[in-house]
Amino acid sequence: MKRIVLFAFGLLLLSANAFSQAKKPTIMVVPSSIYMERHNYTTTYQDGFGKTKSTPDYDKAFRQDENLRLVISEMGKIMADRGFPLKDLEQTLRGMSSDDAQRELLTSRSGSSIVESPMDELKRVAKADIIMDLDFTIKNQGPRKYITFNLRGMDAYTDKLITAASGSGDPSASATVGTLLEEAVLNYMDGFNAALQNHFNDMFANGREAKITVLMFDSCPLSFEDELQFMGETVTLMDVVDYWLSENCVHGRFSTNTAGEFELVYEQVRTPLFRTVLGKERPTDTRAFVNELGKFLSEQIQLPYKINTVGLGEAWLILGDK
Amino acid sequence: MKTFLTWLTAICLFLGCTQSMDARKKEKYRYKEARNYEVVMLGVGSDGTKVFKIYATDKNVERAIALAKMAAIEVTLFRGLPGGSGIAETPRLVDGATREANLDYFDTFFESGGRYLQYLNVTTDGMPSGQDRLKIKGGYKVGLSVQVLYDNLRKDLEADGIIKSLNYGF
Repeated sequence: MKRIVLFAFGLLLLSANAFSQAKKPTIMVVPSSIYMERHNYTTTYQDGFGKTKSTPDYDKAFRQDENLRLVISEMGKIMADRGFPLKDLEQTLRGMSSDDAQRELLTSRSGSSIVESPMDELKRVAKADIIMDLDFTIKNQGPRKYITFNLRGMDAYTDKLITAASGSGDPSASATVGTLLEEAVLNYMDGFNAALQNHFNDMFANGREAKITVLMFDSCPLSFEDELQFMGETVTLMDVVDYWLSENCVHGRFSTNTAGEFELVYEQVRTPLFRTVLGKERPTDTRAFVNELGKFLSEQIQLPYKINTVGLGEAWLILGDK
Repeated sequence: MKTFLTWLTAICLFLGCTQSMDARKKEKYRYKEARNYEVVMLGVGSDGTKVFKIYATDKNVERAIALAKMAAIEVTLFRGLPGGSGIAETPRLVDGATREANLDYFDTFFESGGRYLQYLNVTTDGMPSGQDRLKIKGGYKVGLSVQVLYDNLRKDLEADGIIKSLNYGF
């Protein structure tokens, strides 16, 4: 009986491992800044130096531009059909302003309000792991209309172009603008998704591409260029971080973007999608990966650390304090 | 001894025959892949479909039509559809390695009157005529306007485990 129970438990563990799934990236369509400028969906302001600057006003765009909403809806329909429902920018912005209002009004019985650091406030922005940067123009050729379409898939953390689909549609005198826009989306999405599939295949084979920043609090007793004894050799703190990354990145792949006295920036860091915790393979992200690095430095050099998560593919490790 | 030799010859002949039949079966499939397609896109298909004209050549018109139907699905699966005049290219659904690993699946898929016909609507009305039916040396070249149910084809290949879906692994 005991053997049967053990066997069943083993089978359960095996099936849990076999069906482990990676953390799913979120995808959001964001109208490109050139589209927003062209249609005057911007807010202008004066910066501290008296210069006039403009910033996209997405709320205005979604309230006034029915073509934009139509294109995003069409794209959302196709992506949902492929098992990747899009994060909706319009709804996210609405949800955020509703959250803000609730946070301001929420108080406890004793009159305490919600505590929020400036960093927490800054993090509450509309964000996604993959941005679909969208631009389109309705053009005329005599009596006929046609659409030029430009869609770019960007990794939000590495700023790398994952895929792009662009071109001009066939001019038509009879089709409505709505029909032409729908046709433009249908025309480009299969190619776009095929390239996105290649990106995911690469991710499963070589790990998630992440960006890691290592910083220091001013209370940290070391700089990255200070020498210390590590594994019987005299090396810099920077060398110790490099050593850990080369040992723990998938295929040891990462590249150093900035190597300063108090700041290290690593790009194209290939982090594993899974790690074994309590005997089971579990999905992981860059925060957990950076946490492992922090633990290692804390054990080896006795440096306390703090982690700031930017997203699925980016995190900061700050040394010298909690 | 004589009986033994007769049996041995018979067994060798039988084995040789089966092997050459297998080889021919595989050769026939490889021949299909190497076929020269002519594809002209006709427009952006409605939701989940591809609309194009495909030309095929064979000994008579009936055989050329049957070949064109098979070729329409083959080109969608293994080669991808070309772009042009405002229409974007469509990448292939199945790459070379996946095709090689699933030869038996595609052999059955492309059997005469097989599953491939489920994903095809022929939009040409009646027998092709005029420029779509050309007498050439050794047979006929036929042009067929077809609508391939691209999304249905992709989804069924995903369900059969031949290709990965976009959300596979998440």
